[in-house]
Amino acid sequence: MYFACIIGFSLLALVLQTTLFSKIPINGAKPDLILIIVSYLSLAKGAETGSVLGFLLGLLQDILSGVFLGSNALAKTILGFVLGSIGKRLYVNSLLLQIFFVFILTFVDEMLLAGLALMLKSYSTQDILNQWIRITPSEAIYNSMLCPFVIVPFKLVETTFGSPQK
Amino acid sequence: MVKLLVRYKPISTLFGLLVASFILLSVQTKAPNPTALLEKYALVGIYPLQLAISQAMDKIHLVWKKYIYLVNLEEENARLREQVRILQREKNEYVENALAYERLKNTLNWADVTSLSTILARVIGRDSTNWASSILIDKGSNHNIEPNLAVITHEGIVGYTLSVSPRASKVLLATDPNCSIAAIIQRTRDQGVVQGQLTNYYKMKYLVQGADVIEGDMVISSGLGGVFPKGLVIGKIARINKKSDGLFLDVDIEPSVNFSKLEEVFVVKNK
Repeated sequence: MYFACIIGFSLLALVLQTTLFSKIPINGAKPDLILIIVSYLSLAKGAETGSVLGFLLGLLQDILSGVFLGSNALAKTILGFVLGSIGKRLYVNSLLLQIFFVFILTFVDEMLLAGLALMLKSYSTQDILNQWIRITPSEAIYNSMLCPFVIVPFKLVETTFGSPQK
Repeated sequence: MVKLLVRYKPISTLFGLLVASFILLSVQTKAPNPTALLEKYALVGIYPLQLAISQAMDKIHLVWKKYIYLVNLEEENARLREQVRILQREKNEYVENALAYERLKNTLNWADVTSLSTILARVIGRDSTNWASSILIDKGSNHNIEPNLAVITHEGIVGYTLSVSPRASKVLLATDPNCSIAAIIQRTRDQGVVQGQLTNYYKMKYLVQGADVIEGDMVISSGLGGVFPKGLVIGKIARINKKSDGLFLDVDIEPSVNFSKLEEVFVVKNK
């Protein structure tokens, strides 16, 4: 039941990301709700679960995007693994800490995606740099603002159905 | 070997997933794209949820517009009446122009752009990242839509269909750097290629230095390349950066379509 809820929430987050939130960008930047989910679950569940979830949710995000299939999967696998490894050494129940990680992670995620875009698409280095500078700070703020609204339902699910340990 | 993999399970999982990601990224350079099937089935799964949320948002928007947002109605009515008067006058001019156009078209045997066979589709989703420009529409292979069909609005070119599932399709917008359109300047007939950028403008490439173009010139599709029919509006020249070196001009094109307000589009069935 716990995993069914996780999948349901993730799908809902992804659809909201491509419908509602894509219509209300902040300074041209759309939020990345999948990043918030990967961040939360990786910190809570460890490196292995983090990387698998990062891969699957990233792949789903790629399918609803014009980027090459595998771009987000690759970026979020790496983020899931790194965050899962860090999560072992931290008290991860603090919402402020989660928001902090989402803020920082947005910069890293966009850096990885920018690198892949540079390798795979017809962007110039200058365009990539301009886009990164223009979009990333706004997206990091947007993601941080939405972080509590994504994490609280996950915490409720864990309270209701119990949560598998790391 | 197995013992080693189990012992270092998180690392081996990471390694396996990274290899899978790289394989996915590399196979897409081949044609036909082997990942198209995966995308197709995933779109089938996600379509009902996407459609439901999109429709719910439309309903909320409608209620807002019809019952809540009714301020300054009288002033708006007066403005609209004036607009109707102007539009009626303009319509008469257009009818005259259309008649003249019909005559010229028959004489010169021009391609009849308006007779394109199209399918109306609703936009139900937008790109999930900030690094690509795509939309999801509510028509798919059940409605005779195939990959690589031009997508337009009355304003001009929107993009082309990238992947198609039975009831939904992904459209790569003309603003994406991976979308290129063979184009001509309407006034001078100089040819080039219009490509999307990460900014709000297209870039027109391969326009020779000596081309007699000015800001405001209309840019239309040339019909070369096979995806976009000839004569569709792409945009107008916004900036010409004349470089002292090089063979080509550096030209920025302002898109004719307002991509942030796309709600309905037409998919061109035959070219």
